Amino acid sequence: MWTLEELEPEIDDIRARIQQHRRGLKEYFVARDEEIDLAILCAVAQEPLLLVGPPGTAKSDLVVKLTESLGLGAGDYFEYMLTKFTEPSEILGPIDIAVLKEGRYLRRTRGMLPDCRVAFLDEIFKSNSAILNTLLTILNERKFYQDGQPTPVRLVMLFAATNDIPDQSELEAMADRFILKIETKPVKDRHFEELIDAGVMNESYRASGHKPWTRGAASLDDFLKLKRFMDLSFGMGREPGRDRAQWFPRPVFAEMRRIVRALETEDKVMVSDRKLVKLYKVIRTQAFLNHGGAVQTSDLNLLAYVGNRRDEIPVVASKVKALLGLGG
Amino acid sequence: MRFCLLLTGTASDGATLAVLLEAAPFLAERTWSVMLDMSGPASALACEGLDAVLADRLMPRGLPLATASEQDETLVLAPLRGGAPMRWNWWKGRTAPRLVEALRLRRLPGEPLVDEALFVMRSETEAPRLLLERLLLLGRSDAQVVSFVDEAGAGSFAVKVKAPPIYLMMAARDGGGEVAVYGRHGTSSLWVAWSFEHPAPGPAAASLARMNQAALVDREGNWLRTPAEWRVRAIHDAVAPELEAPRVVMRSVESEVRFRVAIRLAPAAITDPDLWLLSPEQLLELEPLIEVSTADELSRLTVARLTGGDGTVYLLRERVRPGTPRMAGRVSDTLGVPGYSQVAGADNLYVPTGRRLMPVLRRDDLRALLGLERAHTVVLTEDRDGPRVVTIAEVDEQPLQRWIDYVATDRRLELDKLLERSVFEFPEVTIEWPKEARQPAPKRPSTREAPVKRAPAPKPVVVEEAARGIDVDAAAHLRALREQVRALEKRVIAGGCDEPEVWQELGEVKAELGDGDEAADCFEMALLHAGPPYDAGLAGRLMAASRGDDSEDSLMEWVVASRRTPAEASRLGASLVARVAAQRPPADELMQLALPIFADPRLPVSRRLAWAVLAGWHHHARDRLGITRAKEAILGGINERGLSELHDLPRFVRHALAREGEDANEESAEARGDRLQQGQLIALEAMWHEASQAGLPEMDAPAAFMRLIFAVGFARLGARGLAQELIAPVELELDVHEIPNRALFRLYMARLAHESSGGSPEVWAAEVGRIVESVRDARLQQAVLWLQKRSMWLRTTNEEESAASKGARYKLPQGVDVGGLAEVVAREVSIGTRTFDYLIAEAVDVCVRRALASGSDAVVAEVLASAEPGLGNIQILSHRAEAVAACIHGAASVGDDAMVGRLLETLVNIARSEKLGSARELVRATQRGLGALRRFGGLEPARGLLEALSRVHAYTSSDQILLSATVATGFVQIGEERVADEVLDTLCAQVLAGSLDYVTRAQGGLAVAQALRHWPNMTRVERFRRFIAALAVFRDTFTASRYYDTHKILILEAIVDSLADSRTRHSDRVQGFLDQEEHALRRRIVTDWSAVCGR
Repeated sequence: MWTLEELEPEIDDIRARIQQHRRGLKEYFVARDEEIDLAILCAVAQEPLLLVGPPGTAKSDLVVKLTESLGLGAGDYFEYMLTKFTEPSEILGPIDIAVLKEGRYLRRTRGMLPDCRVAFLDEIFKSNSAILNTLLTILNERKFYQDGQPTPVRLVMLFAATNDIPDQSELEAMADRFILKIETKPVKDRHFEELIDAGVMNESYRASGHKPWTRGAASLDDFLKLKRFMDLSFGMGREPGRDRAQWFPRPVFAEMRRIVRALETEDKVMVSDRKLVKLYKVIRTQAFLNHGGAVQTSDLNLLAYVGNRRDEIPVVASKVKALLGLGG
Repeated sequence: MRFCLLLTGTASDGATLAVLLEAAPFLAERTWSVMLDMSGPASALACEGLDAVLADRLMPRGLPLATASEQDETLVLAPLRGGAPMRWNWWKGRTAPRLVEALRLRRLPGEPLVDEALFVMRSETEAPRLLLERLLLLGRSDAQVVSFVDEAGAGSFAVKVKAPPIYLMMAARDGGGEVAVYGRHGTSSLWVAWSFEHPAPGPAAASLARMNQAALVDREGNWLRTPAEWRVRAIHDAVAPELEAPRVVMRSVESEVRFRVAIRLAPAAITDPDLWLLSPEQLLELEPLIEVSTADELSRLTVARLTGGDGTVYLLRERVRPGTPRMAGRVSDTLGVPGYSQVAGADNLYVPTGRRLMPVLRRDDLRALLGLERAHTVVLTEDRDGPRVVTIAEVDEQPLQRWIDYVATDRRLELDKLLERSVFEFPEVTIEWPKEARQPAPKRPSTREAPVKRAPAPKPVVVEEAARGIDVDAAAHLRALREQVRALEKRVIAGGCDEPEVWQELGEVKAELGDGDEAADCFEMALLHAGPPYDAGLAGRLMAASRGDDSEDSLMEWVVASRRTPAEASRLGASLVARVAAQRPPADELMQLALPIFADPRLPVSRRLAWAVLAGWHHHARDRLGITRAKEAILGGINERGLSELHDLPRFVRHALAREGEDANEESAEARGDRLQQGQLIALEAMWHEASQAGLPEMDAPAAFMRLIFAVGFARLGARGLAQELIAPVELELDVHEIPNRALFRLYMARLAHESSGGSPEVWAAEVGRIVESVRDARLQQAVLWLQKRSMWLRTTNEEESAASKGARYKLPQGVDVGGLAEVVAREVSIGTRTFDYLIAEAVDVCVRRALASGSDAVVAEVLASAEPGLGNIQILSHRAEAVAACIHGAASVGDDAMVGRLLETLVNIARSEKLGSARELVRATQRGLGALRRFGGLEPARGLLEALSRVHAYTSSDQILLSATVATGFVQIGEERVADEVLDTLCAQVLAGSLDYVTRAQGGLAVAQALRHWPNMTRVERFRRFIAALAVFRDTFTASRYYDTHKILILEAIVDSLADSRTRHSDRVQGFLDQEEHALRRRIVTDWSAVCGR
């Protein structure tokens, strides 16, 4: 693993490459800046991202292009569309029959979710409880159980998409694991011409097997290094409050507190303790990624994506923007 | 040194203050010195009245008293009880005019919610602008603003917000003191710094109320008093909105500019076409439809021959008859052409069905553009070059029936015998065509075979000629073949014959007799019942009989065609089956195109042929998934649409069903009466004589109504002369009748003309509107409307449609696929659901129908398993019955006998319940359940249900009658006519007896008349005779009875309508056969599928 000393000299270059990577990716989409910014941020922070929206709003395309642009090796990417009939073996790998004869219950995970670095799960809330429970463990603890023994997974980035977030209590735990959720909306009304032009270009790329976005400026290693750097820097002070004092100015912190409190009390948005801590880290990561320094008020726009339920997402987004004075 | 009271800033201060005021109440209104510990919540209160003497007196009460002294800016507090003195290094002092104002506020943890907040700030700062802007961004335009001026003349600005945004309060609290925020609960006049509370809010508020004041208390306890009433303004009054943008002013001027706009045809909702423009060849394609249509139906089609630049074209038009099912769909299906629909608002303009004119023009512009006023009919056709305007100056339309009196297809046996006899007995017979045909018939295209018996030619005239030599052997052979056909047909017409050999033999004989279409039907049946892999020889025979062609070129041409006639689709199917059976399967690419064609339930071929194509191919390919999907597609289509009389019923079976009861040599009077329109006419005439036996007095309104009602019936059966005779006296005496009756007579006469001309529903509605409007007096008009709305002939279809539109209010959630139906239905029927019972019942119905349409038994079973346990949660029994019927339909389709049994029991229990509100839904549910049971081979359960229902005693007489009529109809439909007769007799006796109230009796009479439609004509006449004889019992006491007897008229209408209706009885017989065929087809599909899938 990289040390802070190893990372410090190149961290600004890494940041610049990731920024450029982000800008490059945006060229292949129309009016998807918000989604791409979040996807890149979640990729750096290694937090799962949930894209919520109707069919045909570039959810899958965005994730596929992002992962392709990272230049992943064979078996590093896993993608699956879940249904209520999907079995765990389709995600985690089939049971190893040879080992089963010896009385052990092991899965052959090669090329499956536990073995990949980046995963995309479409229609995640349509899966059954067996898969959801396994995913919870993977997201929480980065491990899954093989023959009763916890086994670490290699997964670092998880993207998920859904048309809807069902209003069922048993899905709340899974929904809460996604710190950030973004609603993808159709853009044809505002960007008719650009959408057609970009769509035609994309079809042409597909037909010719040409994928210019794969020449991304940053690699998976860059993302991993930046994450490692952030992890190390969070623990640098070795005393509580040090990171906050150094990187989170008091007025901005107070602003964050006010917004979270307002969302909880007025909009009944559930922000769990775990989520709050993760939010802090994601905001810090965004601040570092965007301007390399302390958190600014504008970085708090991430709070616009903390809505949990389908109907909450647009309300929260609008409210946070209003509170930050960015317009409703 | 001063004596002072020590307060800790906690809840215990309340007790301290209570004791102090009890012991020395005069201290409440004294001036106090307050010393605040700035490093903690404590405070010390000193007062001149609190001296050594008083302190001595208060000490025993346990009050925390101390002496206060200052040492080098440090306040030293020595408790009088002893103990170490307290030293406050950082403290503040102030004075307060009374005790409540001297108390220090207590800090509350977190961010407490308040009912109302007051943000106070200096007017001249930026703070007001920022606050107002943020409030407006948050959509809080309900906030109010207040301005204050203090004694020094300095201005303060305050914003009052109910349910204040916590964000803004926190921002004010956390800010540098530029904005002070106060909160209050309820309507208290005490505003306390937010996040703090006053230790004695009650006394403080009371003190303010006494002085009619309000107060703002800051976090250190300082009171700012104001008058209790404030001059508040709306937030918008305090905002001066700005928009920095250049301004342009425009004014309107008159203009004559006109733009050229191209009119085009755009997609529209598919509606039934009203007319068709046909080539001579296309007109001949109508034959299959003509053969299965009743005379009544054919009388609604008219034909006109047109000539012009395009050569000869035939204009076929359907005369729409209100309340009668349209024929348009069947015509279009048969012809394979979509036809043209009338444009709303333009009586003589037609556009291709499923298209509309875009943009919508004013009627006058449309008339001018297309010359509608100069033409009889204008048809806007469309081809690849765009629209074409076909203007028809004038037309001579004749009923289609006049074109087809050339052969009596349902007398085929006699014709056959005639032909056979002619060989032996009348060898000199020949056929001579009359020189002048009434209407020149189109020539048959040379590509099709032309069987003599179906040739559309004028009536032949038989003349004698000189004898010729004959081939005796050939004639004997022909006769033998026909005998053989009759014997075999008799065997299969009973329905459900699944012996391939019988069908093949019949097919071979028919092929030898030159009847290719019927032979093809038989070969299809033989193939179906033999199952895949299909016999190559048999499949080859099918292809030959269908005139198919199995060359690659022909197959590809048919497969890629954008539209196929039914004949072409049959040829394609037969050819594909033949290729696969002969082990020369077509290319995969071709089959990939062909399979979806045959999986489409709308394809106009028999379902058995569609299945043979799909099953043959998938069996050959050993494609389990493919055959599973094919099974789902075909069964789903059957579930959704049932079998088609036109495509799934072999033609000779149709003829046989039309000749019900006919034997080779004799025909029962009943069947004869039922078969022909003349039979109906005879029945109606008999009834008319029965009704007019006692003579019909002149100038008598009831007699006039009777004449008019019978006249409409006669007109409907084509006896227009007789109809005119009947109404002639009414026309003569019209003016002597009361105004409402006059209008009603006119309405019946208009109905008579309408039946004859076949106008559209819109035309009828307009006619009714005109006549009703002609009655100016509102009261009299009401009397007209009373009957018009109840009469089945006088009401307009719009009223019927509005009643029908009440159905299907439940919509499936968006995005639900068949896999999610079980979940949806389980949610809808669960106890906690907050919806209406009728919506739950509809939800069950919709989910079951969708599941059935999927063709997957597993999906249907899953939906039923989710629905059944929750049916009891539907509280209103009539709605529960509807849901139960939907489930019976589903359970019968998947053959779940146990569930069918349970559901039938539920239905019977509902019928028995005293809580059943209305029997109408129960009747509907019973009819649906019976229909499903018949279709899926559940005759025994159907009989069981009917028997159980026949023993049920409904709660009200009218419900009982409705239920009995349904039961009787059900029995007759499952062939139990004897039992049905018994039930009906009881019912008739009950209706005609004097025990019922007059409304129930009338409802009963109408129900019986409706049920009798399912009986043979002669039985109907017998029953109706009793009704006519006892017509007087159908009296009423409605307000309108001063003018006419509502119930008598309605009963008479129902009787005449029932006698003039041949469709119901015919469709019962056809449906009976189709039900048996469907059952056999289902079994075969499942068997074939199991053979491939091994299940």
